[in-house]
Amino acid sequence: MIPFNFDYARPDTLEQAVTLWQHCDQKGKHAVYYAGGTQIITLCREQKIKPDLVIDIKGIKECLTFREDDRLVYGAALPLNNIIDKTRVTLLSQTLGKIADHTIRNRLTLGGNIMGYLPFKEAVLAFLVLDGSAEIFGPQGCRTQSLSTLFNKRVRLEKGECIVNFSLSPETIKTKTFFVRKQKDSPVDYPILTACFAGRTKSLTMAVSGVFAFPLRDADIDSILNQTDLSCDKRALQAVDLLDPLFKSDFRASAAYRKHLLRLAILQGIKELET
Amino acid sequence: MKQTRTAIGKSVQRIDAKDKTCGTIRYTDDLSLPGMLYTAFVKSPHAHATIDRIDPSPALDHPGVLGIFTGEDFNCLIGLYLGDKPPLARKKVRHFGEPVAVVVAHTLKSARRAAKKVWVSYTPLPVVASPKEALEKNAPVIHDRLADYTHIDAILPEPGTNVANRTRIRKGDTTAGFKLSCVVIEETFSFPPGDHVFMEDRVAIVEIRSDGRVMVRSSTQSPFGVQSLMSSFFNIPAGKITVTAPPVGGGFGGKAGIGIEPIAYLLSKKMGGRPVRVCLDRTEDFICAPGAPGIEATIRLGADKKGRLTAADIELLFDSGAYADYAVNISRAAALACSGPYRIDNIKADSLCVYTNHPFATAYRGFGHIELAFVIERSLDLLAQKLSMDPLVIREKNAIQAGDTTPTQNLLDDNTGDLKGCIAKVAKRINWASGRFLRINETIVRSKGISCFWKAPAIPTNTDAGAIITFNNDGSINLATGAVEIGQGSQTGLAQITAEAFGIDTTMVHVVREIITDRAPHDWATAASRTLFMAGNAALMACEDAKLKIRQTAAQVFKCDPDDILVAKGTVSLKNSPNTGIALGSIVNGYTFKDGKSMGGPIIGTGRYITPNLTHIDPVTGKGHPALEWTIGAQAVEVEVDTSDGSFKVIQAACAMDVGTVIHPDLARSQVVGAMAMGIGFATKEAFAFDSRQRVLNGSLRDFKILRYGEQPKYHVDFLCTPQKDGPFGARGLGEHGIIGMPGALASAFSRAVGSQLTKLPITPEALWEKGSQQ
Amino acid sequence: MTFYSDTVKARLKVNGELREVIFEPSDTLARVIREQLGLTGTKTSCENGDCGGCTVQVDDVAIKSCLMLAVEAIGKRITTIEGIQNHRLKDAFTRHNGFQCGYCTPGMIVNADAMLKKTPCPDKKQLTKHLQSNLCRCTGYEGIESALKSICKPG
Repeated sequence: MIPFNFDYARPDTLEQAVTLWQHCDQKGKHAVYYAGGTQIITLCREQKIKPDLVIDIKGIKECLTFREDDRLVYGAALPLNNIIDKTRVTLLSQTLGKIADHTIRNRLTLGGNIMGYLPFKEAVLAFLVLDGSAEIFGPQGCRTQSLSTLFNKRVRLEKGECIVNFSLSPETIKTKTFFVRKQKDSPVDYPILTACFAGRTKSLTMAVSGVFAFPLRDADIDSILNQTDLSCDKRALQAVDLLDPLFKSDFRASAAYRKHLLRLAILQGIKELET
Repeated sequence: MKQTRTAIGKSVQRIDAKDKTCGTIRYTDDLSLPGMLYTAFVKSPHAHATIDRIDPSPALDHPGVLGIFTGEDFNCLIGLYLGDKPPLARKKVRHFGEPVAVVVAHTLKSARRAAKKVWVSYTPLPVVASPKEALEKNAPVIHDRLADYTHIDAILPEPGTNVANRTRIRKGDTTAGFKLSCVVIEETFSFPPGDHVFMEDRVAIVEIRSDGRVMVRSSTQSPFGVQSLMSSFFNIPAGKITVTAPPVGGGFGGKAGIGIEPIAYLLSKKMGGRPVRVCLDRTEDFICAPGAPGIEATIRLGADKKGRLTAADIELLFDSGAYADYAVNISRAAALACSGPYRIDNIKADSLCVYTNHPFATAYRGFGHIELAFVIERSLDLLAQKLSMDPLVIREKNAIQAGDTTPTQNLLDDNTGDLKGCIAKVAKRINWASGRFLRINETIVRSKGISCFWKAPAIPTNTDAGAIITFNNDGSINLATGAVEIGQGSQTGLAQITAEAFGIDTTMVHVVREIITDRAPHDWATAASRTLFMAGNAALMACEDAKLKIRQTAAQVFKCDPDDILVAKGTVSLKNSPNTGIALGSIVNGYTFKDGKSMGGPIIGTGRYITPNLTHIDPVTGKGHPALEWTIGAQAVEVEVDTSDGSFKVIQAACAMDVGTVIHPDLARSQVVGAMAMGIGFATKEAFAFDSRQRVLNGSLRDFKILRYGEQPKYHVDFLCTPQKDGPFGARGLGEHGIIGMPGALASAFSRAVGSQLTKLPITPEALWEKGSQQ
Repeated sequence: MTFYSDTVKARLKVNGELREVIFEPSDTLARVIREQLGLTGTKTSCENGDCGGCTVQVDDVAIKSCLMLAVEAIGKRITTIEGIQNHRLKDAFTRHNGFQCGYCTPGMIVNADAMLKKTPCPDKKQLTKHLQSNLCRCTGYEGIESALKSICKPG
């Protein structure tokens, strides 16, 4: 139950959505873009956020795109299950398939997971590791940007901007990938480690979530992974040592355990993907 | 002569099956009264702090708000056995989440919105983070007025300290016993407090009618307990309080005491008697309302070279949290059973209920026995290891049996279950003989563990139950008892007992589902796994009473002696000519002769039960007769562990329990399996996590995990049938017991897997990895 | 564009009936179902999407109704436990003791029914994937598992 009221709008176009946001902002009021609602409703119930206007983007057809042809495009308002059931990108269905639970995934959307308030944003991992991009609509119109520049701990948007979709190059369907996820002790929980690997010898990439306070893909780490003159053990150790100050410690897991899990994951990742 | 039974031992359809599978059953939360007011709590963000000032004014003018109340508005103390708890915190808060103020409003929305605006300032106090810390010399005293609190005689609080109760067991001579030992282990075991996590949050609706009658509707396992406690807290004649207990969405002990009913009553009083609904949300149910106690225990246990236990010196420190509630009796119950189901002739045990700044504890399935069993079973494993003995063998050798005495020095009679038989059953189920440790590959191992348990109801010496049966003209029976439906299915079992007594089909018995204190016969509480036993006995007596009355009426119809009448299979007939029968329905509400003359009138059968011969225990030695009937059993598990990261799966879990007669095989199994699952969760996930200031970090279902579908092992359940002669048809209690041995069995298996003895719960993958990597 | 402010007066299609209701844009579907429509079979145990007690079907898809706004359900087909017609499923829960206290049962059955509509013969993995969305504290899942296995078999 949400103990306060807000206005609800379901625009048909991106222009309408952004205009609504701007109008609200100009009046000094707080508007949020809303897709699956699984985070927003929870936070509203707890009165941790108090939006004046909820802009439901599920009526906007661009936000509901699913296509895998010359470009693989996934609308921000697509529920995870709609992608999991249809996509040919194994890593995407693997990663999305572990977020929350099946019933929640009927509502929880791609954009919501990546743009939401929680630090995990696991849905972004596949796009980070496979060099994906995002399409953004805002007061200045439409733009497409690579996640490598757009994502730094979170997706960096300008005021009033709304994510329309995330996309991948069609080659990624064939890219070899490896996925591992660990929870504290329950199959349905936030991760203490989610790691996605892609590529092959000398072109391995890794993106992780759950181990730090934010998801991370880091060029320095990728280059350590690809130092094939070093043993797998050494590479894994070097990588986690470099990341040492970042490991999170909370009631789900200690930093030491997270570090250990990441080291194991890197070892497995290298083993699986190096040919 | 072997009797053929019509109802007992059959897995008949539960009486509430349709209501539950169709979603038409109504729980307390589903009720709504005209003019009902709603509430929301303001909760403490500190575990221990003085309340400096509460300013409700920013919230008072919220639309819909009718009143905001604080601890200062209610100058009383409440508590189940020890009156230590203000309805709302007064002057200071003693645990994270303790309610300090409450908003009453026309709608829940208004109440919740306003509650967020109430402004409270605190000065944090040093926190007590564990029972051991609580007992340190300079520990903050959480209840400085302990000396002034009222309490029942059976508990012994120690004013000036954090000890709410101490139970002593002194049996035999431990000095001599340890001299006979060739091996002695000494170890400390512990786990933090947890929660019941029943699916239905606690809710109570109270209204005060214009004639002063207090109407309570509550998700309670104990309608009569609520009635009598409310009567004594607020000085209301018991007869003026009517408590209604609809079916409960899971209790597990957490709804067996008294909880939010008093505050709902006090608020209704403030509101001129209007119905006030106090409903906890999930987080409040975790942190404001009581959960399961934690424990820190130290034990010395000795055995001779053959593995026979010679002496035990046990200190159990129960983490009761901020208030005593049921925990003062939980610690006592653990003391009474402190040997586990083993013969130990020399025991010294002190079991303490200790205040800390954790959310407080109440009854939880197992009632002190999970804690105790974890300590004893782990200790037996340590002894077995020292003796290089099979853990199964050491248990067999020491298995308690008729002729042995309990820690309270009671002689066990021939009602005592067959523990060795139970051990043999579970060993067979998980193929113990084939090996206890198996390496699958470099990182994966499989291992097994075994444990035993026992438990008797820890109940007042005057625990009672009643039953009333009346009849319908179709010959069917209405059975009224005080047994609340909490998921366990006792009402179905009681229907079977009644059906059996009349030789009719269970579908011909209609059980009164909703318990209302002004029409149900008195019943102590639906707790302690004693409902089927006691209400069952009462129902049997009611049946006999009704049959006698039927025979008396029928004797006039048949013009014979009442003893010549047979009441069975829905007919009333002459014993030696069964074909002369008349339908039960034509006589139970009076008989009308062909000429119109009538006689008899409605038959009402009544039955009652009260625990016979239970006594208090001696405060110095613990000697006494507090235990009604012991249910004994064994459990075993097999786990698979990935030692590289500690992740694991419980592959199979077996439980064999001596329950006497099984009334309903499927329901009995379901109870045991459910309890085992809870035990797996208890051992591997379920515990509150605290920060350094003892604030709860995982007070939501998002963060506090219980078992999910897919995590369940393959279950094996076997019942042994040593009859309980004083139980209905020879049955004894079984509802809680399946949980008790699980932590011990799992810890045993996991210890074997990682090659290191585990002493703490929960055993998470990280804990296993940490232990394993120390090796 | 659809826009709601203050209150919403709408017709919701629930269990085959058109029900006129007045609610606020911020009201969750779970609350409207229970409090306005009186369909109390839908249970709110955590209101946080964790327990699954409030599961309903929206256009035959299982949804945790505590995490959906009622405004979003306008024009859609809502099915609560009271409208589930799969008696075979309900009977299986009865026969196999797939419940004890019954509080999780409506959500469990509504979810299982949605699964069976899409996947009439789920394998073990699919069963787990779907049913992991609902918590049961009483049964240890044994009865639920055997109930579902019994009807997932053909015939």
